[in-house]
Amino acid sequence: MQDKPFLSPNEIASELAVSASTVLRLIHEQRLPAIRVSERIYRIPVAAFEKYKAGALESPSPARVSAEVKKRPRIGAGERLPEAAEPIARVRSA
Amino acid sequence: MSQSLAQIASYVGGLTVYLRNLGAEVPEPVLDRYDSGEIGFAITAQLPGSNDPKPALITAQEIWQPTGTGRFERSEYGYDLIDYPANRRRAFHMHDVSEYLSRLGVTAHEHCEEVLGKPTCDHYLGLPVFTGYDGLNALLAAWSDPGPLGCAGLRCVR
Repeated sequence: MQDKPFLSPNEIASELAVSASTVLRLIHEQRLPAIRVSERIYRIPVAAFEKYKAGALESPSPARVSAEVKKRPRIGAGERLPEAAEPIARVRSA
Repeated sequence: MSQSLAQIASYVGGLTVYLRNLGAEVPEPVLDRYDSGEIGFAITAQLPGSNDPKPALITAQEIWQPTGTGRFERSEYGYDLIDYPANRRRAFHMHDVSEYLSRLGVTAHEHCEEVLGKPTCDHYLGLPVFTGYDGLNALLAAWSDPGPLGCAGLRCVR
């Protein structure tokens, strides 16, 4: 199991000896961490399942609010801004 | 939608634990204050699995501007996946909004590189990402899927 990065709900069900619907319920109740790939497809990272089995899942707590005032960062720093191009609205009407 | 400082601090803590519970390594989060009067944060998560040549990384950055009532609204974001083991990148961005609006007529844009560092288009049309959870979910779904990212199906806006 360690070589495989993700498990399906069916594989988790087999590991836990429960039904697939029980696993889906755990996911929907946010008791088992899972990545929602589409409406019907979930993938569970092996690392997340290990944390679940070990009872090591964390509960959220608020982030610390810094007392220090920093220089404002620039999101997208290093990214080239786009060239002036035909706006989308004009492309659509063409 | 505007949020109080305490609500945003809880939101940032929630994003962090969401990633940690999926097996990612994430440092303790901090909500920063900026000299512009805005607040914001940057989270970097090292994803589990292969670390050859380096682990896959997700970063989430947001800037929130004050609304004048002790509350803040998210004004910019950047959610990025750099999947080093799969040698590819996906990102959802909203920043430099006035420049993007005047030059391309869009506020949000995306990045997509089937081969890391070799984009076939610099900016793809992006739909707004409503919360950090939505951004992270989309990136995690891409990370967990071994197939192509689907860049060719996106609309290039230069």
